[in-house]
This record gives sequence, C-alpha cells and structure tokens, in this order.
Amino acid sequence: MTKGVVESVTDHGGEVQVVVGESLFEQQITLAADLVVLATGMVPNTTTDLKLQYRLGEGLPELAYEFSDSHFICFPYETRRTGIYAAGTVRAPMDMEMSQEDGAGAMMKAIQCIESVKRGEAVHPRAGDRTFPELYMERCTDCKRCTEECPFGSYDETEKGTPLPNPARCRRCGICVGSCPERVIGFSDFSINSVSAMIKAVHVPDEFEEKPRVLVFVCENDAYPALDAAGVQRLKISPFVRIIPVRCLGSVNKVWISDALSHGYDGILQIGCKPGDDYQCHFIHGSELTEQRGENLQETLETMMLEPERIQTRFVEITAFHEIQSIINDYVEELELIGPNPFKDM
Amino acid sequence: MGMITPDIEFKRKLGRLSGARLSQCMQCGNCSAVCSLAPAERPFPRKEMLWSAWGLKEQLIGNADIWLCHQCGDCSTYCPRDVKPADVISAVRLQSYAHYARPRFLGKMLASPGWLPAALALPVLVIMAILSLAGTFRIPEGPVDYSAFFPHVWLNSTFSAITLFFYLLAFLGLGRFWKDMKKLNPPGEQGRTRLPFFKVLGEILSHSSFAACGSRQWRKWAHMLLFFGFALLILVTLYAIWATVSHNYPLPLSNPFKIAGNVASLMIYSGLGIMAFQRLTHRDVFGKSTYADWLLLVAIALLTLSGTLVQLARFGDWTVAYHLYFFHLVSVWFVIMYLPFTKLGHIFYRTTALLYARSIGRK
Repeated sequence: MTKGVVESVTDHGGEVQVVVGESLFEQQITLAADLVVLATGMVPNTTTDLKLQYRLGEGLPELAYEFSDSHFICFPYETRRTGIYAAGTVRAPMDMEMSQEDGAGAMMKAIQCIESVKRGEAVHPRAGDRTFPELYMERCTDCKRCTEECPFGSYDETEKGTPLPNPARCRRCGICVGSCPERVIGFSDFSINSVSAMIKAVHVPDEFEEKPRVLVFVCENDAYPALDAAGVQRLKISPFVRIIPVRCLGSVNKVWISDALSHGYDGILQIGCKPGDDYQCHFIHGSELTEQRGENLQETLETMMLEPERIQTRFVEITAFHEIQSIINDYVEELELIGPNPFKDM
Repeated sequence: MGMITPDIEFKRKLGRLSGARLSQCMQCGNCSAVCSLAPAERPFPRKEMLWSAWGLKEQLIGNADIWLCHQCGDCSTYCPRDVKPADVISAVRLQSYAHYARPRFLGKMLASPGWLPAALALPVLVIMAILSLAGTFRIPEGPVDYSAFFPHVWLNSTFSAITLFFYLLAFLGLGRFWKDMKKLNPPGEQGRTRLPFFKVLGEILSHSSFAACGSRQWRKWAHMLLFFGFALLILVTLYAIWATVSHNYPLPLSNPFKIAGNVASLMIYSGLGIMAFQRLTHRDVFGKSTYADWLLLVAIALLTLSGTLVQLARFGDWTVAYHLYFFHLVSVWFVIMYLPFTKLGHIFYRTTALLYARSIGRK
C-alpha cells in the first residue's frame, strides 16, 4: 500500500502504467498495474450564492482544490467568515457517513459560537476575549490597510475608504493593530502604547557591558506554547532575550520595531506559525503579512543605517520546542557577530 | 526510482523471518516518531516499512539506516497495526549477511536450520584433515598437553590462514555494501567528510546508541558485558598465540592473562545469561527470536563453556580433555571464522554502515 497523487494512467503496450507523484517513496514512481479503479471525482460547490455582504466577496474564501476552510488543523469547521461553519463536502471531499459526523462536529462549534456571542465573547482561538478593536478615527487617513488586511472582513469601508468596523465578525487577532501606519487601532489590553511601554520598560545594557539585548515577538498560538514546552524541558535559552507574546505575528506594528531599535535593542526576532499554501497561521495570513511587511522594515533599517540581519522572522510548529531553542540561540550568536546597535545610549 | 517492480518472494521471506504481516502497514509513521535514534531527515523505520511492503530488496539491503537501528523495539510496541517494524528491520539485516556473503553457499548454509549439520560438518572435516596431515590424529598418552594433539605451529598457521581468508572475502562483500550505500544514500549538499574512525569507535565503545534507545536499557549492559568480554578474550588469545611462539606455553593459572581470560568468560556468561533470559521471558515485547538470534547466543555460549572446560581438563588431567578440545576448536571455527556469515557479522556491517552514515552527516 502507498498513497500519492496519480499523475497519469497510460497504455504501455497492453500494460497499464500508473505514474504516481508525491508518494512516500519521495519521488515519482511508475507502477505496472493489473487493475486500475478510478474514483468518482468531486467538485466543490460555489459558495457565492451565499451573497455575503463582505467587501472581500460574496462567498467563502477558498483554499486548495477550491474547498473552503479555515485553520485546517485546529479549526476545521470554522470558515473565514465568523459565525459560518462548513461541514461535509463543502469543506473537504467525504462520503455520506463522514459528512454526517462532520455535520455534528460543525454543529457543536456553532453552539459554542452562539454561547460565546451571548456572553459578548470571542470564539476561538481567543475564546473568552471581551475586547474589541477601538479606532481613534480622528487620525485615520483612509489608507485602507486595515480593511484590506483583515482576514475575516471585519472592516467594511465607505466609498472614500473610511473603515466601518463590524465587531461581530472580529476574531481579535490584532492584524489591524499591526497594519495601521497611523497607529489608530488598539484593544484595551493590547495596543500600540501598551506594547511600546513594555519594550521601553526593559533595561538595555549599555555598549560597555558587552551584553546584547534581543527582543523576541512570539505568536501566542503556536510559538509561545512551544517556548513554554522548551521551558518545561529545561532547554536553556540565551539570557539576553526578552520575550513579548503577541496575538499574531500580523499584529506586530512597525512602530514597535523602530521603538525597540531606538531604545537600544540589538535585534528583533519574530517567531510565528508557518505561512504558505499549507499555512498553519491561526489567523490565515498573519505570518504572510509579516513577510510582506518585512520589505518595508528593511527600508526602515536602511534609513536608520542598520544591518538588515538585525530583524529576522522564523516559523515553527507547536511541537517544535527543541527547535525554538536553537532558533533563538543561533540568532543571538549571529547578532553578537554583527555587533552592538549603534543607537544605544542615544 | 521510476518503475517499481515488487519482489514478492523477498517480501514473503521478510514476513517469514520477522513474523510480521507487512501488508498491514498503513505507513502512519508512528514507528519513526517514537524512535529515539531516527534522524530528522528521512527517518527510519517508516520508509523501510514501505519498501518492505513492496519487497524492494535493493533499497533495503544497501541502506545504511537499517544498521543505525539498535533494536530497542519501541517501534514495535507503539505500532498501531502490530506490523513489528523492529523485527522487520532485523530481518532485513539478517538478509544482508546472506546477500553480501561470499562464497554464497556459506551465507546460505548459516542462514537456515536445515543446513546446520553441513555447517557443523565443514569444520569437523577440515580439522580432522589438518590433524591427519600433521600426523597427530589420535589421543596422546601421558598428562594432558594439547600441543601433543594439535601442534601449535599447525594450529596457529591453519586457523589464522582460514580466518584471514574468510575475512578477506567478507571485506569484498563490505566493498559492495559500501558501493550500494553510496548509490542509495548519496551524500547531501555538505558532501562527505573524512571517515570518522575515532568518532565511530567512541560510539561503539561507549554504547551511546544503546543508551539513547528509549526502552530496555538492560540491553546496553548485556551487550557491554558481551562486547568487552569478547574483546578481552581476543586480546588474551593474541597473547596466547605469541606465548606459543615464544615457548612459555601453556600459561599457569596465576598468569595475569589467564586471569583476564577467565574474568572475560564470566562477563560473557553474564551477558549471555541476561540476553537469553530476556528473550525467553519477554517474548511479547522483545519480538520474535529467530534461528539466527539463537544460533549466535548458543554458539558463543558453547565456545566460552568449552574453553572453560578445556582449561579445567588441563589442570585436572581429565580423560575427555582432547574430545573437549576438539569440540572447542569446532566452536571457535563457528564463531570466529563464520563471523561474516552469522549475526555476529554485524561487527563488520554495522561498523561500515556507521562509518558511512556519520561521514555523510547522518545521525
């Protein structure tokens, strides 16, 4: 037995040859088959007839093979449209029996959602959170960054581009906090000022002490529990790092980085969930945004005449607690080679 | 890899040797996940289980990974389908001895119980022939003196020559094994380092892989006792050969080498005792004990036991001394000269595989 993706079935002089890719054999294999049984293909329905009033489209966002789902490992039923739960063949190919079971699973999640709404709380992953994004609209420049970057379509916008928050859709990921160049968005317990204050409250040794100071933004979904596990395993992590957990890497605002650099930190490391087609980011594209924003950050560094290597981003899984140790320690070692931040004591 | 042509016969053989129903494997990868020795990249034994299920003999046998396994059995314990990966890998290793053995018939002869009489007859006949040639094929009179039965010159020259001959053939087999490993586990981007002889030696002496194994830590101690006992006995034997040449043989019981030899035999008895006891009492967790497993344990036990008895017979002037001595020589042949063809061949194959694996940075 093996599994893989069938690439072709050909007649080879009276013999049926099946070419299989992405198998556990680690390469493409060819099999001479006595009998080939083809399964009936399954094409997902379009969901545009839901006619959702989202600026991001009327249907549910689609993933691989045009099926709709959200964070496929932790929240398989959750779609990216808060309050809508997909089950059965809407989210993945499955048979009747599996669909029934799946429907029951989605139902349980929907019940949780209703209960949470009743109490005015967020559903997972930040279950129980009662805060909402607060916008200081007087300073908003209608740049549309928040409306474009929110993965859950929490922000509608006027024709002019002014964001119209839709709090019921919000999952409290804080990606809007990270997106806003004017720094007008914040939560009562997670705002530009609160994190900035944390950054500035840390003592940074001066250049003569020869001790670097490294700021690590850690995503609270996977990276932070992994770091916790590393602690339980007593894995030693460089004493020069100071860790600030964030709701998502996407919630890291550029201003925190420049605050840290001007405060004298020698480097900033961001650790979050894996982006890409098989993403594990709990807020869909928070990690991806971090990568995109990375380019802007490099510009910031250049204007400050600093080495681009001072800011780095790494992706880990929740189980990678032994990796997280070497990630942090290797980064600190690399930083020591670059030398101290010239902005120290300024 | 391209075209896959399953070798059904080989698959059946593996199934018979390991007692595993190979087609039951669903490749979940639990085995690789629980293995504490599996490398992070391309870990075993999952891929070996896949290859076994498809009967891909070449992939399996020329693969260094099967020798990185130290058989703690965790994979078998945690296998949800009870396919016993540890036993399957062990069966592949047994196949390796027969595969690389030259002359082929010796590999075959030592792999199956049916051929055991032939495997025994060969040393008996050859030793008889040597004794006839030396003209001493009879029970000598007077106090026990083994050199009167088998003159030292004859013993040293013929036994050394035959051992060297077999080992030379074994090294040719190891050469082919090396070539296969190079083909199937090509070095990665960082290439191959110089052969890490000392690192591997340290690894073997310290039994660090045994120590890293998840469960059944007693195996480390049992193997250590046997390993160092065996090594000590080889040293003592080399000294004894030198002593026969310099004519102060036989050694008195007070000679430090004689004492060392007896200590070594005690170590071997205890090591073997632990191994045999565990094999007999923990059949459920230990996995299947095959003919090859028992052959090796029994052969080493008989070798050591007959050695001890031969020594006692000399000091006690027993009448059966020469019969015991003859038996001892046959058991020496069985363990030392047949080494490349029996499970003891792991001394050669595992060391070679470790050298290769470590030189391409696989650990």
